[in-house]
Amino acid sequence: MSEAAPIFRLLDVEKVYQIDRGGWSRLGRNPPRRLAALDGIRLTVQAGDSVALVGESGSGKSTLLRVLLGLTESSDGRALYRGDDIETLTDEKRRSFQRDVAMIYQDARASLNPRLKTLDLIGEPIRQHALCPESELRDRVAALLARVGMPADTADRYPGQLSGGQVRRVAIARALASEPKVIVADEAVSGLDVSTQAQLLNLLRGLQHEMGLTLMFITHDLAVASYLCRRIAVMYLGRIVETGPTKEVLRNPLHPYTRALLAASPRFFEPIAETLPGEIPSPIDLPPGCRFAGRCPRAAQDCRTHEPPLATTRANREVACLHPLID
Amino acid sequence: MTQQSARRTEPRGQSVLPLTHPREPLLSLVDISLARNGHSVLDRVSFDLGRGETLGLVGESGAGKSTIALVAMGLLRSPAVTLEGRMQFAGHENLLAEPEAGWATLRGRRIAMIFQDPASALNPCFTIGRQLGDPLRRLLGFDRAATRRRSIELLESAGLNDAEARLAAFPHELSGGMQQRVMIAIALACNPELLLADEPTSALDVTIQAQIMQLILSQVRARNASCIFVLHDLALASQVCDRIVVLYAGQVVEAGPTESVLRRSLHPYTNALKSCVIEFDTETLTPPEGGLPAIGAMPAGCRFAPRCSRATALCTSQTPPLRSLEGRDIACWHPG
Amino acid sequence: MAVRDLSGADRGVRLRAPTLLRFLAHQLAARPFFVIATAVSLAFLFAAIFAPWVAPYAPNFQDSDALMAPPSAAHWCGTDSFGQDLLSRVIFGTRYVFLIGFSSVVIGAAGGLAIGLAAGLTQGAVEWGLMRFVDAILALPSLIMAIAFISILGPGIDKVIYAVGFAMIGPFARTVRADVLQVRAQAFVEAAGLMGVDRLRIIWRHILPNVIFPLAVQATIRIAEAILVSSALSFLGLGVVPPAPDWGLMISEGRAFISIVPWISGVPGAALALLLISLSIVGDGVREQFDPKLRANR
Repeated sequence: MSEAAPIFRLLDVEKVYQIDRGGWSRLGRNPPRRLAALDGIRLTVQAGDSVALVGESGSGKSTLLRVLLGLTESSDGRALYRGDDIETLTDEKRRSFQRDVAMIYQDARASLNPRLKTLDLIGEPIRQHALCPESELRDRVAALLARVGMPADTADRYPGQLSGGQVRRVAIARALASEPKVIVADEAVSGLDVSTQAQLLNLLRGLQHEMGLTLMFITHDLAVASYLCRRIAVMYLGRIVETGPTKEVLRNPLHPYTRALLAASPRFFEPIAETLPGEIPSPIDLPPGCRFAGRCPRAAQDCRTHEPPLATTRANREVACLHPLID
Repeated sequence: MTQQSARRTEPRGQSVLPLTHPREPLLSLVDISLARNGHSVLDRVSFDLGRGETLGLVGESGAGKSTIALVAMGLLRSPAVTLEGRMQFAGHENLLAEPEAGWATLRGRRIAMIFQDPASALNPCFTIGRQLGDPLRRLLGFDRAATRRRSIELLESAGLNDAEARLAAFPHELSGGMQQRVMIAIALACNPELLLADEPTSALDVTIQAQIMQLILSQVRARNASCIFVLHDLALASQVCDRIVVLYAGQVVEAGPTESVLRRSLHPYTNALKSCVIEFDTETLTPPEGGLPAIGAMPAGCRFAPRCSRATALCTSQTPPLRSLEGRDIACWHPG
Repeated sequence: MAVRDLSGADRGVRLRAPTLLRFLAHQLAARPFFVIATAVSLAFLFAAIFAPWVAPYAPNFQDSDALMAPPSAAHWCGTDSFGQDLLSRVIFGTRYVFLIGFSSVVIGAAGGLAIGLAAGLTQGAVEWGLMRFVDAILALPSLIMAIAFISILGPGIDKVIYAVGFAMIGPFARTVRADVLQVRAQAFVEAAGLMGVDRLRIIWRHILPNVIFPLAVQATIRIAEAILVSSALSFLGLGVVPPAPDWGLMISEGRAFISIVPWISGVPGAALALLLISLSIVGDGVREQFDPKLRANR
C-alpha cells in the first residue's frame, strides 16, 4: 500500500483570482480584491483509492478538480500526477495522462455533442488513442454500452433521444472507453431520481472494484460519499478541513463543519437538527484566522487569529482545527 | 394547538392522528385526472389535508407531484390540458370549476406557493421591496407606509437581518438562501391558509436547507396554516410532514400518516423507494429495474406492475383502487 | 415459369403514395402559409430551371406588331416598349434572380463563416481587428455598399454577385461568431480537449457542425434580402445591362410609362414581390422548424 506511487499529489496548491473592482477603481490605489478559490491544498491520492470531495458552494471542489485535470493552472503550489507536474508534462506523458484520466461531468447532456451519434461519442476517445482498428469500433462500443447496462442499439441514437439517466450512462461509457486508470466525477449522480441514482452508484462501485480504478468523486451528499468512496476530504471555502476513511469520519467527525454537515443531512424520523447560523460567507477577502470561525459554535479567541493547518491527528486522519472534536 | 407545537420538538415517535383522513379537511382533492395532449399525466389523485397539517407529496420526477401543486394553484389552465375531478377548499365546492376571476382572489391571499429555484421565481428587474410589497398593496390594500413597515417585519421574521437595506436590493444581489427567504416572506405576506412548497430546498446547499425548512415550518405553525410539500427526499419528508402521499406515474399508490407509511410501507413502490435511500451504514442498494413509464406509454392496470416483483395477471389488467388498510390508503392488489 | 411475387412490392408502392399525400395534407392543415409559400417558391425555381420550355417566347424576341400591348391571349402579361413578351421575360428573369440570390448568399455565408470562426476562436488583437472589419461592413447599408462595389468593378452580373455577396458577409460573420462563442463554452468541447483531441479536429468535429446549421437557416432567410438588393441595383442601372431580362431592369424600363402602361413595371414588380414574400415565409418556417431555441429538439 505504501510502496505504490501516489496517482495525485497536491502540494500547497493555491488558486487565487483577482477581482477587479471595475470602473474608476482601476485608476485608484485600492488593490483588487482577492478570491482564494483554493488555499493551501494538500492531498494525496493513491492508486486504486476512492476519494470523495465533499463541500458546499464556494468550497473550491470544482476548482480543485479542474486543477487536477490540468484545465486550470494553479497560482501557487504544485499538482503532481505520478510524480510529474501536471502543468509541464511532456507531450508523451500528456498523451498518456489524457488517456488515463477520464472525467464525468455534472451536466452529462451538455458534455455530449448533440449532433453526434452515441457511437461516435463513445468512439471518440477510442479513435483518439487508436485503441482498436476502425472495423472493431462498433463491437467495442457495444461492449462498453453493455457494461453500463444499455442495449447495443443505443449506439445509433443521438443524445437528444435519450433520457437523463441514459445520458449519464453514455457519459460513463465514454469515460471508460479510453481504458482509464482514474475516473474523476463532478456530481455525477446529483439531480437524479433515487432509483436512477442507486443504479448508477452500483454501477460505478462495481466498475471501480472490477477494474481497480482510482476514483475521485465530487459530491455534496455525504451518504453517497459513504457508499462509494473509502476516503473523504471535506472542503470549506477553499481549504480541506478534514480527511480520513469515510465511515470513520462520518461516525466520529473531528471538525465542527463536518459535524454540521452530518447534522444537516436529513435522516429518517430525526427532527431537523440545530443548524449552522448564517450564510456561507463569500470567499472574497476573507478575514484572518480560521475561515470557519464566523459560523463555528466552538470558536475561541485563537481561532480568529491563527489559521489552523491540516494536521495528522491519528493514523489516516487529518483535520484543520485548533480545537477539534474529541469522541 | 399546544399538542401540535409540543409535537414538533420531539422525534417523530408518537403520531397524534389515528385516522387516515382528517376530520374537517381544509383541502380535498377528489379524483383529479389531468391529461396533456391526450396523454394521461394524473390519474384519479385523491387526498385530504386538514387545518394546520403538513402533507408531503413524494415520488420521482415525472410522477406528477409538481403538477398537482400547480393544479392546486389553478395554474394549469390551457387548451392542451384536460382536467377532471373536484377540488374542495375552504367553502368552495369545486375550485376547478371556478373561473379565473375567482382564482385571482384566492391566489396569494389564501393559497400561496414557494418554488424550487428562487433565482428564477423572483423577477430580476424589480427590487425585493417592490416584489414583497406587491401582494400587500394589491391584495390587502396597504398604503405605502404600512407596506414598508409590514415588509420589514416580514423580512425580519424570515430571518433576514438588515431588512431595510434589503428592500432596495435586487434578487441577484442575494445568495440562494436569502432569495428563498424572500420568497417565503412574499408567499406568507397575506397569511394564507394553504402554502404549497415545491422542492423549496433542492437548489440550496445542505446547511442552508435545514435553516429554510425550519423557517417554513415555524412560519406555517405560527399562522396555523397548512402546508403541502412536494419532495423527492423521503428522509426529509419523514422529518417535516405529518402525512405523506406517495405518487407513481400520476397515481397515488400509498397515502397516510408519515409514521405508518414510512416505517411500515405496504406498497411495493414505497418499499422500493425506501430501499434506494442511502444511509451512512448502507452496504448495498437494490434499486428497482428500469424507470418510470414514458408519458405516452402508460401500461394498462397498475402502472408499477412492469417493475414489481409481486405483479400478477390481475395487476396488469386492472388498476387497483385506493382503499383503506392498516391506517392508510393504498392502491395495490397485493399489499404487505 | 416462376411467378414473381410482386404483391409485396405493389403493397409498398400503394402504401407510399397515400402516406405522402397524407403528410402533405397534414402539413397544409398545420401550416398553410408555409406550404403555399414553399409551393410558390418552388414554382419560381421550376420556371428558372425550365425557362426555355416554359416561356412562350424567347426573352428578347421583339414582336413589332405588339408594342406596349396590354395583356391578351397572345401575350398573357402584355409586352414592353420593344414588343418583348413580359411573361417570358419574367420567366427568364427568374434565372437571374436565383443565380444572383444563391451565389451572393453563398459568398456571404462562406466569408462570414471564415471571419466568424476566426473571430470566435481567437482572442485579443486578432478578434478585435476582425470584428471592427465586420462592424465597418455592417455600418454601410448593403445597397450602398453594393453600389460602391459596382462603381469600382463595373457592371456585369458577376460583379453584382460579388458586390451583394460582400455586403452580406457582415451579418453572417456576426451570427457565426456569436454561435462559435456559445458552442466553445459548451462542456462537450472542453471534454474533447480533455481527451486529447487536438484543436483543429475539435473545430472540425464539434464546433463547425454546431455552427453550420444555424448558418444554413440564416442563409435561407437572407436569400430574399440578396434578391432585393440585386434588383435594386439593376433598377438603378448598376449591374446587369440591358437587354437582360432582369426584373429590376424591367421595372426601371417601365418607369417612364407607368401611368399609361402600368404592366411593364407592374408585372415584374408583382413577380418580385410575390417571390420575396414567399421566400421570407419559407425562411421563417425553416427557422421555426430547425432552430433548437425555438422548439424542443427531440
